[in-house]
Amino acid sequence: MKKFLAKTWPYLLIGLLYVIAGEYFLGRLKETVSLEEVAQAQSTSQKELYYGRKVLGIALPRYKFINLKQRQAEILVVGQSVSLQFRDFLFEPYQDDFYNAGLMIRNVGDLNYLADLIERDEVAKPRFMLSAIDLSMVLNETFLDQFSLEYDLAKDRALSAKSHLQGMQKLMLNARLRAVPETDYGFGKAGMMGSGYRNDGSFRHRPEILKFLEDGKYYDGNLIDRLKARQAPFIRPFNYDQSKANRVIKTLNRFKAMNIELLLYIPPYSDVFFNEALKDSLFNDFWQNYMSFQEQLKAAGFELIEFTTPAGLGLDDRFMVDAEHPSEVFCALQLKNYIEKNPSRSKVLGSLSFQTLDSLLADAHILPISFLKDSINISLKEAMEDKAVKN
Amino acid sequence: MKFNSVEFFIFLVIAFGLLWRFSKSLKVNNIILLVASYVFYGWWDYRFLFLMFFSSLVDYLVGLYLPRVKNKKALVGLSISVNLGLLMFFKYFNFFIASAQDLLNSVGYESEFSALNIILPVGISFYTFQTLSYSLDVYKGKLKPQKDFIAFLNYVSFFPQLVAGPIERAKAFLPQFQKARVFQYDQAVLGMRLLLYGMFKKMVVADNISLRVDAIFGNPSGYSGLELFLGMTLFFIQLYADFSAYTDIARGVSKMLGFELMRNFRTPLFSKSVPEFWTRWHISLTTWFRDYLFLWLAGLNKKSTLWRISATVILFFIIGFWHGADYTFAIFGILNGLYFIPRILSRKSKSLRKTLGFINTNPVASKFAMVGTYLLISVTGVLFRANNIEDASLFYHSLLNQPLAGVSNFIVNIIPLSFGFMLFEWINQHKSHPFDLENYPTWLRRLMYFLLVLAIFLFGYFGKEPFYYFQF
Repeated sequence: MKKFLAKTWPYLLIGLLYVIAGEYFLGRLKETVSLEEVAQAQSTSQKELYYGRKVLGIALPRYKFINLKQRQAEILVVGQSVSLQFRDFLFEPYQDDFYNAGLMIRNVGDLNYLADLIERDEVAKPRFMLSAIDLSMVLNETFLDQFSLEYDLAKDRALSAKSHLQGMQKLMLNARLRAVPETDYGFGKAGMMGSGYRNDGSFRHRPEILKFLEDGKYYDGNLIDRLKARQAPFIRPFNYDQSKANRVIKTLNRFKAMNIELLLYIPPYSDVFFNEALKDSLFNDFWQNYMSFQEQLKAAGFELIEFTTPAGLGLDDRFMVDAEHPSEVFCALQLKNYIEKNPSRSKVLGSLSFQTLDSLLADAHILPISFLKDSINISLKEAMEDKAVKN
Repeated sequence: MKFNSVEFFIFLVIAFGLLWRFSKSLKVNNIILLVASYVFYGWWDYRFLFLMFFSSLVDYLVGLYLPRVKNKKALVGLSISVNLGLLMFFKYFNFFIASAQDLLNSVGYESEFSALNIILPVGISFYTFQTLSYSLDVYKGKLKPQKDFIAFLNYVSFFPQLVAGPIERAKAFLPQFQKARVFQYDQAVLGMRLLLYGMFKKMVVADNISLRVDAIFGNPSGYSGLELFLGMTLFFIQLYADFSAYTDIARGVSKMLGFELMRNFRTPLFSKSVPEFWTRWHISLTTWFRDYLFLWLAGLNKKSTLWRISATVILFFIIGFWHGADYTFAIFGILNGLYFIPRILSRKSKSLRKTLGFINTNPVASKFAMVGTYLLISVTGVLFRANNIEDASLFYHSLLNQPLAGVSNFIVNIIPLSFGFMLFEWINQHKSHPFDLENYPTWLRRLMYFLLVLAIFLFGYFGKEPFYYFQF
């Protein structure tokens, strides 16, 4: 037996050394910090911290859910990725009671489940909720329907041995991924570089901002090509589903019945994309129905930021992160514009001060896709000033 | 508990340590082994432990009382009814309900049978066959009844082979629980080697191929003809690497614990005909069916060639159906049965026998036969892999109608690994096991161990794919 163990242990040692080295790399990139710890740090830190795991996987629904439970937010933003640019200071003076749970809710089932959680007191009831209702909510077939918040909450990958082993593989085979960034703005490789979810739950598009600083151009993110190729989200049959629309209205009424002030948000498209897409019969047919759904929501008494393109607000496509994602500046202008033009029944909306927003909008350094109001403002501002000098 | 999991390795270290620490007392050792096996199985779903215990108890009692009663047939019938009844209920009930409903609907009768929400207990097809073989052997007088209940429970639940075989026979396996086990260095080393090679085959070869095959079979109309062809041919390499990996690990762990399991594969993908393939693939299952079904069935009319063909087709229909409750498996089985026709006809045709003999022995013809057999198995294997008959039809249709050209890097990337694996198996096919490194120099052997460990960590799939045969 001794001989057997003596001959076997060197091979076990190889495995052990590999795991030790892998854990060291994972730890160095702060990928192994648990979601509870990340949420705790983000909710208490005065400094903006970013959460963005590049190796272990982001476990987004769980991350948002943990934050949601911890924060007990009075002002809540929900919806898909299009809702991620609404930031806390837009809701001044309630910025400390704000949380953007965008991308936690990906379909009407998720929205319904959130209503269940609030009803069961598993999540604190917000005073006000901004809910993005993008087209996937009423599409008869969409890959987003395969997700379920109820089941996605299962596990944090930082606590799973299997995920660690998968992560180690990526790190061992990719030296660039293994390299520690010079910056340290948060948790996970991307977070350390300043890309990911901010303390308030909104998302910072670092690569897009840097690109914009470089050339100041709009990029559509190949959405037109995807439409032409009938790729997601434009996969046939791409039909409007009235039964789903009815479910959305029914679910939204549940929030209303809980005395939660609601503001719905129909997300914009860039002008370039939208004008091109309307020429496409598949898109156009759906769009007519989608717009009639917007009218149904209004008729049902919901307050609503209607669909627009940047041109509708006198802006251009540079205010879009890409063809389907509005920038934080655009979202802010849409919200402000809505409140100025619509006498709202909402007490929360009626008492927003927009002090910080106004001062930011008055700042000459503002970019169409970013307020540059982040922990890493200074370097970006310097970069922009440097560019301005060069120009 | 899956072999390819961190839990299993912790479990194995504990079980290995405890079993050899308490190896002096056979009784204690057997109790520890039984607890370990039940923990291993219960890790997946503890509720089905009762089912396994019930199946074991029935056959233990049947075996015990068979020599004492007059109506032996009734008693052995009880064993058959219980074991096949469990299998029928858990594995086939919903299929028969759905089939009956389809049949009634097709003749215009609106039926409202509802399927039950039944979970298929892992390994049920394997352990029921193992217990059944015990009762049948006792009934036939080939085996004396086992009185030691703990030993019998161990025979049914022995954790290394519990979930996916090999399906052991009581005559060779039961006595191993009744003699004191002594640690043997050579056996333990051999066991570790099998364990290592099995893990490599499963995690590096099978699971990485499976990522491609699953993608292709999941959406056949999204791939070119060439990609579909590659997906189809890669599937049997995946299946072989996966299933034989399970057997290797099972045999390896057994050796480490002082047990010997039968060989379940003899490089079947290098077979020169389908009949030969079935003598080299899942040997414990095919010999089980041969001994307990085919010999009786074929013996009903020994002289008739037509009957022998029918018996073979019936046999393979049942073997196909054993794998899963779907028409795809039934057709897969029937087709394989039909592939035996030339071999059966050759029993009475000298010229055909000569031709088959030439194909088998001629160095060039045999290589063509090997490739042809592999292609035939791969084409038929689409039925084995597809989720249902509609998916299989779509695959065949896409294979014939999609544009031929174009292969994505994702699929091309797996070819060197698959080819390398097959080459290694080819070179070592005549050894007792493809990873038999006894005659290699020590430095080369150690280097290979080192490389395999490293390959598992660096290229193994840690998504914990279950072994393919777990679903059966």
